[in-house]
Amino acid sequence: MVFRKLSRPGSARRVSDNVSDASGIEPLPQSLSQAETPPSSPSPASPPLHNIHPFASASSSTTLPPVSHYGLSNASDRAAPQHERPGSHYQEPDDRRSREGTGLPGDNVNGSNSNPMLSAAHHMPSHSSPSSKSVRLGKLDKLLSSNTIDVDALRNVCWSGVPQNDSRPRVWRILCGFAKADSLQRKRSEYAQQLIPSYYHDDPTRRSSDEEKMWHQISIDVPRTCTSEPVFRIPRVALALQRILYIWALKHPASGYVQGINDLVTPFIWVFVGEHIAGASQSLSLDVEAVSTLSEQDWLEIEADAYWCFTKFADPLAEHYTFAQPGIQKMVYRLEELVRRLDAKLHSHIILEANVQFLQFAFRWCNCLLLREWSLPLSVRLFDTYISEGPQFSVLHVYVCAAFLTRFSTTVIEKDSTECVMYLQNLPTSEWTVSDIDMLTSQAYVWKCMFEDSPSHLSNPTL
Amino acid sequence: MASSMNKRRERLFKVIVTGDVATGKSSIIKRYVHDVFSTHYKATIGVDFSLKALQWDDDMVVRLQLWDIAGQERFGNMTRVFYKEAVGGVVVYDMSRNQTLDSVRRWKKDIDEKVLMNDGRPIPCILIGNKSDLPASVSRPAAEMDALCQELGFVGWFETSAKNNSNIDTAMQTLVSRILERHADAAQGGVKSGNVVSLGSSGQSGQQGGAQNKQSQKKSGCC
Repeated sequence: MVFRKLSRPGSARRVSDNVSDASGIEPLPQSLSQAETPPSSPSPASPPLHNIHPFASASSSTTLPPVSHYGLSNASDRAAPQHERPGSHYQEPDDRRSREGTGLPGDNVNGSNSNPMLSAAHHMPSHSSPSSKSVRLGKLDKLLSSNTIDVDALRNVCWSGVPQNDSRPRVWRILCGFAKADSLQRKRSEYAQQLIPSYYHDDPTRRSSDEEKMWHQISIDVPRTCTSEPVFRIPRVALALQRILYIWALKHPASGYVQGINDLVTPFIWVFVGEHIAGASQSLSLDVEAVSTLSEQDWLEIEADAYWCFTKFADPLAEHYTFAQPGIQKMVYRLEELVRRLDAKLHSHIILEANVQFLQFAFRWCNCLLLREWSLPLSVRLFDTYISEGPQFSVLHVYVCAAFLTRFSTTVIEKDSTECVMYLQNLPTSEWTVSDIDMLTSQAYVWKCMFEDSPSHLSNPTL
Repeated sequence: MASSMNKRRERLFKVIVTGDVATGKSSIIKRYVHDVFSTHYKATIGVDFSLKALQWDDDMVVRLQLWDIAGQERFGNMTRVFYKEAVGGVVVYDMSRNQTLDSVRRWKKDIDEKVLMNDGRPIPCILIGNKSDLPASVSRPAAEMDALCQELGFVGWFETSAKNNSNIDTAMQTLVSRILERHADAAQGGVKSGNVVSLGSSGQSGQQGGAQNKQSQKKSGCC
């Protein structure tokens, strides 16, 4: 197999070992096999990647493995990415890494999925394994009970999912910058006493024609937001959503309200409503009756918390929703580039054989941060990661999308044009659980380390 | 020549469906393709796809690839990607919201600017007024609608209800007929002056559409 020619002393050797074990590996595409010629000295750009990926010592952008997801199941590689994770996320003591690095059998919570790319998810520590979760839970308790909360440490613990559902509302508030009790109180009263009266009026004569247009648009979209969750049909929930969207839109005139933003607010409403419902945080659904009986005081808190946290969360997304949505177009472009590097066969099938543009299916993935692709509780889990990741989460999102798409690679490449795009628009996630999201984020993290730390891996330097 | 076209077993046509937000584009398509209706469709983000197969006649199956394009005008030129290679268009307005009919002009212009037939003519488009079942829906005078179709170059106009499944098949049938005619024209070589005359003939077709619709209005009245 052409691929083996890449073998070289050191880390690359492990890859070729793995590859020989893996099944269904396609030959390298032409562009990649050309890169085999200089098999020696590491590139100056790659040193930070030595521990991350066996290919890291290779010398040019073309060495990125189209089969990387097959080659990562070697236990000795598994814990590596954390060493290199930029910033402070995920940097936990060594003891944890080594323990989790050996936890492969226990990681197979989703053994039903036979796609070989999933083995890459095991490259990361399994956050769903009981031991890891209890360790993180201990850390979380310790962090939240201290007088001064170490926000970076909190991000590290919660990046792979807030380990305790009850703590999620508090963690999200802290990570969105509303940590202290006094600032929280101030923000809540600012929302109720200033923002609502100054921005939200029922009287249409007080709205300009542009405002009226936006109001109308939001009014149309609120009843058809998150139709899978009955809670969003409760009039008080609809009012909260309408108000949050309208006030946010007025305060962000560069974009105003854009369809899809309504989806982005739903995890926040879901989480903060759950905080007020006894036992709700333990389950994956909210009881409509219980939610209907919340007091107005509760509602104002829920609404204010959701508004402020969403506002903070959406801050880095400004470019996504301005005219022509340049931020989204860039993300989709990046995604395509990434998939081309990671799974050339899939990429060429989509583009050449099926004649499908990435924009046709991935626009929604980026515009709604994948909220439309699975159930809301799974998005809540994904938002744990994004909120912990901080303002750069949209960079990570592209990798999550790549992990999502490549997971279905084997089926996608069997489908012709129309079938292909229809499949891509409705990927079968109805049986998915939180651990599937764990795997996507872990995979995304591995790839992000590979590509972001070494931009030369991407063919287009402007990316 | 035309008969030789029809001998081909299968034709695939890409049809784009546009119009203002919440005029019922997705509902029309879901009714047409799956014969279902719900008031709970989420707003379309970007574009959604559906495929409808029609046994057009004994010799031919027509497959319609329906591109349901989000109504909020935020995409700018991005829609060019979605419109590409379309051979037919549907512009939808909401009969209970007058302003959505006002936008029709803009949507049609957008299509004509971004996609053309191979022979350089605009792609055939129909105009659909949806939600005729709603009490608030208003039927505009036929003469007014005919004039609008003539002016904007629509093949015809139809008042429909996705909820009651009224008139959607007729509308789509008309569009497909026109697409097939156009393709037959193109197959004839397109060098004859007949092609140039087409602009004039679109006016006639608008009136035909109107005439057809007068029947259909009765139909929807019955529902």
